[in-house]
Amino acid sequence: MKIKSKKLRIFLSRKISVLAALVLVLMTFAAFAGPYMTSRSPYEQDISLRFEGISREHWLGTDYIGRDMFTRIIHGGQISMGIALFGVTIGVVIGLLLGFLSGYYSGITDSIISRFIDMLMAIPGLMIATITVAILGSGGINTGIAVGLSTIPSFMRMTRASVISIKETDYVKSCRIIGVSDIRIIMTHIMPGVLPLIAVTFTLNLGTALLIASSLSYLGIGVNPPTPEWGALLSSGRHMMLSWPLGVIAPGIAITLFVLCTSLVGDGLRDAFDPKSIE
Amino acid sequence: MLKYILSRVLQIIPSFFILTAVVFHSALLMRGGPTLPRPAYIMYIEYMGRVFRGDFGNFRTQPVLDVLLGAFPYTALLAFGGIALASVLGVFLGIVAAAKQNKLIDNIIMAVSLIASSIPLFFLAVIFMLIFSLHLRWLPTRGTDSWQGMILPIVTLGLPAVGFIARTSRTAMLDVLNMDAIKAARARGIPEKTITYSHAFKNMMIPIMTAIAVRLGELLAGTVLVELAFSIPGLGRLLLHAITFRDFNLLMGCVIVLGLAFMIINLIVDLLYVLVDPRTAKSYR
Repeated sequence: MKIKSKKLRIFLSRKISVLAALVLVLMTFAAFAGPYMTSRSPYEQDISLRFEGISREHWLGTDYIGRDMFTRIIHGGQISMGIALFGVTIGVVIGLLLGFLSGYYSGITDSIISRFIDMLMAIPGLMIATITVAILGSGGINTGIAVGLSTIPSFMRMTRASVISIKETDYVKSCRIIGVSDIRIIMTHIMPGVLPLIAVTFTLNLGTALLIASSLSYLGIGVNPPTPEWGALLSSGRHMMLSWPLGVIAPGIAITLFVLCTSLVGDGLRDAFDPKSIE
Repeated sequence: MLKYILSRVLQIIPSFFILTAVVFHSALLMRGGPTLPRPAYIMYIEYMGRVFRGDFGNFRTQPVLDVLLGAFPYTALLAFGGIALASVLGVFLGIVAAAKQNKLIDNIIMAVSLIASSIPLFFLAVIFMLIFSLHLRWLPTRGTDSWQGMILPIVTLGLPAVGFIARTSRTAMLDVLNMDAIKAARARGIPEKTITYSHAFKNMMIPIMTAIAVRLGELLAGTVLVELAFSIPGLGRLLLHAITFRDFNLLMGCVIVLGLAFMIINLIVDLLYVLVDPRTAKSYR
């Protein structure tokens, strides 16, 4: 247990990462628990209250048909973060599988998988996601799948590299000699070594995934209005940004904050789990 | 080394065909036509045959090739303008930050570049439009009305890359300053300024060039967001048209041009890696 607390100590010593983690927890709580704490609907219109300013009643004012902006941002957080989480989960499952196949079995399997991943790596995530949506069509689930596909290469590479390094250790070699099955070696000996790095990659990818998902919605090929996904919110707000700047600034800041915090937390975790920093 | 370079260049060919075949088949499958006239792979071979003769099919009444060629200069201008801006500004800020390591100015540059690389491009576009077009009325919101119109799109596209390049340059600079050759130069009494700007600079150029090339791919992908925000009729807009109008020929045309561009950029990145560290070529299967 001593090493664990050491890792925690390293993470806690990076104050900015700790702050970012707190902000993330707060944002996640607001997005997933918030909708159950208010009776307000993000779709409830009141045309007599259009373009209301910030008030105690409407924390972020109201939009062009009188919908409460704060409620929409909170609900949008659930959708944006939900899509990011769904996508990265797809990415981690497929990435882990491919990474283990190619790292553990090497040979021709490795060559084929690695080549394919190299090809995917050449194309930026946003472009992979855009082409995927072009094929599958828009909507929340398809956006999640598109985002997930774009995160596979990073998980696969990370898994493959650590599987290869662990595979060469003496304890794995001796397991093999005494005839322990592959599945058992992978599950009990290699997996624990791979997981911390996967956790780091997972965190870093969450931000990228949300960025790509909201970009797709902004482009009008992801989640469509009136669903208050953050990118879609910003997209519909830009036609009236001069008279109602809050409509673009509020979702923009929400996205930026989430992406910034995940990258800070990810960096903190990497420092904590990097073997070189545990001296 | 030469063998590595050659095999790496040739690698583009299978990658290109795999990418186009995957997109072709899945797009054909998802379009949900009841029956195809011929097996899909035959149609793919026929299609690629036509493409190599310069016939990409039609989009509405225009040949797709003409549409692509018409859009290409806008996207190229955006991407190269953005990367040029990001390189100059990024390298400069990175060197300043490294020279003043852990001082206030270093912390400010690093904080700003972290935030700059977290802001979504489309949000940055909106902020710039609000400030410079709508409030100050300095620059137009549309990209193509005049040459000034391209300023905001290029700055928007380049800014997030500035952060990335600045951070890489800072690290490269600090690594170089710790090299024995630099320490020796310092011991010989060569002025600190000469060391920073002439000795160190040469050694840090290759990692920085690699970072710039890596970023160029991301930047090219980002043009789709900037083109929509500033109404620029580039390749990204065409891709969006292809998706909204469900146009098969246009989609394939965009995938071929953009896919090829990404593969070439990636090739340059890989060759730069070999320049940095020739051992990369040896470990290559």
